[in-house]
Amino acid sequence: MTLRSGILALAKALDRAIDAGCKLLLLAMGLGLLTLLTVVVLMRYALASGLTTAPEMTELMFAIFIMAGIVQAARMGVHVATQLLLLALEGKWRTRLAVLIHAVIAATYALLAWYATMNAIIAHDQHTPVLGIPYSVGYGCLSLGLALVTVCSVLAVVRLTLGREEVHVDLADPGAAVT
Amino acid sequence: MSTVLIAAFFVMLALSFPVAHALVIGATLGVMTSDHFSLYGVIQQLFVPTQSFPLIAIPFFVMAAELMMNGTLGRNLIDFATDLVGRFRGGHAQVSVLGSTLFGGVSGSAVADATALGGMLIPWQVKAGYPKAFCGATIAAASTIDILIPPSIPLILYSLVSNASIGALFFAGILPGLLLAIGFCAVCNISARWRGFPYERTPVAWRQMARRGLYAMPALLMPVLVLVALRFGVLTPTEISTSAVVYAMLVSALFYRDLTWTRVTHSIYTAGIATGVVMLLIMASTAAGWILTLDQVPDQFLAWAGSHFNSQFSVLLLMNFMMLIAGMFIDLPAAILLLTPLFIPLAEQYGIDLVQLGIIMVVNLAIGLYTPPVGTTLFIGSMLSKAPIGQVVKELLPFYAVGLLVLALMSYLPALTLRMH
Repeated sequence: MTLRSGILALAKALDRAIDAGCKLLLLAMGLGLLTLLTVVVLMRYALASGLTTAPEMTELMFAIFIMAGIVQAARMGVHVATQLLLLALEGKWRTRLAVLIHAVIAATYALLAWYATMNAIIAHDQHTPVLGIPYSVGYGCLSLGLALVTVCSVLAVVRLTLGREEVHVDLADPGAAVT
Repeated sequence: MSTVLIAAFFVMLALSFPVAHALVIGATLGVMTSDHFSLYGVIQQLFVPTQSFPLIAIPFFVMAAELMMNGTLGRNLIDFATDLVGRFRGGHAQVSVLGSTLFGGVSGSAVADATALGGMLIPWQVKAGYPKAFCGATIAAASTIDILIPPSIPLILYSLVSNASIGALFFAGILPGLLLAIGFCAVCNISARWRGFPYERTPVAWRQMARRGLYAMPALLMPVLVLVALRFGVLTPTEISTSAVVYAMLVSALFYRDLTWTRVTHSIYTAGIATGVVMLLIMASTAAGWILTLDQVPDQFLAWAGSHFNSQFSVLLLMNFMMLIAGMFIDLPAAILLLTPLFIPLAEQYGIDLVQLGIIMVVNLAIGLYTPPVGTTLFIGSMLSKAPIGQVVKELLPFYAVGLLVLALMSYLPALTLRMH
């Protein structure tokens, strides 16, 4: 196995691991949030009571759900973009531009992930009032999400350069279809 | 800071960076040029929206739509729409319009609507003898009705930034949605008469229509239930979204009998990715908005607008012009998140109701979805109909006229912004 194919194999394995991890988190948090919020509504109308822990659990689960979604969207390349220049370019220049985009994203998000980690350390001594969860958990989620976006961008650079993957531009791709 | 942010944002947008990443990078660069602020500020601004309870509604409305539309119901809604309008002049094209209006009550995405409906309807319309570009244009314009009929994700986003009531916005979105539907149907009808498009001459199968209508009823009831729950304050918008998912699951399992575990997991993944896309935009816009506020950009904009525009009429004209330009280049959620903080103080100063402004904004930016150079539903219509974008744009001209007419009505006749009392 050459170094190039080794790196490509590692990139593929990492990509799969991120995909599996994000899907697992989306499923667990999605179902968890749905169940929790449904139980809260049922308790309010059936028992005239509520769950004091619900708001804090909801905030935490939603933060994890969001970060898993952001990373998965970055991995799939569906964050909304105006791709007119990419479309206008061809061949090597299109690849070079795509590499530049991913490299800048990777550098910025790596920097922000570092600051988010520092922020998590600072916030660690503060706790939520009911469950006593350290505030570092929320910032930790953000930090991990930003770090994984960095990894996704680095993997994209590896695929475009070492893997010689072509850049496909489809302006009609509905992507994540939020509007 | 703001100058660096704005310059970096537009350069990166032109270089094809994703909009949210362009905002995050612009905000990062902006803060790095400042002597007074650190990147901890950006991190805190990115973190704030992840703790927002109302935003939990977004994934669950997407999930409910996925559960409803990916089953047998989607096809049935189209058949029902065909039964209703297929026999009229331009009826094949009107099915796209009516289908989008019906889909709008279940889904909240024009792009998903254009893809799903266009994929099914355009081949059928072309086979019936309609010009390809006209079919592409109809679906490109009609799918935008979807985001005005509740539940509407753009209206939830606007509500987040403006603090206007989600219930009031949902309620007010119905009339412009219906006006667009009537206007687009009229375009289809008049075009068909002028250009001699074919139409169905088979007699109406009333019994079949009634059967399909009954079958579609649980889905058609969903927006009604959403509005009733909001109107009477029974549930919060977030609780309504989770209740919509439970309702969609029950209807799929017990009525349509097509609920599978695979569909449930697929709907959660789709909702998760859609949430990731829109939440990163919100987080990035919050960080960018923080920098703009620190530099008092909204105040400067307010002062500039106040010195050049001195009536409600001219301020609305300015806002609409800015939104039309923004909508041509920036995706709808990003435009809402960036422009709303600028427009709110202006609207308050000139006595423009915030619910009315939200409706104007969504009607206006919806036009941007089918205008070049960047129009997602325009691209989808062109791709699915296999017609060049230029031809589709030519066919879209009367649809633009309808869109602008409805925009003018919503802007200058405040009485058309319906209220919940």
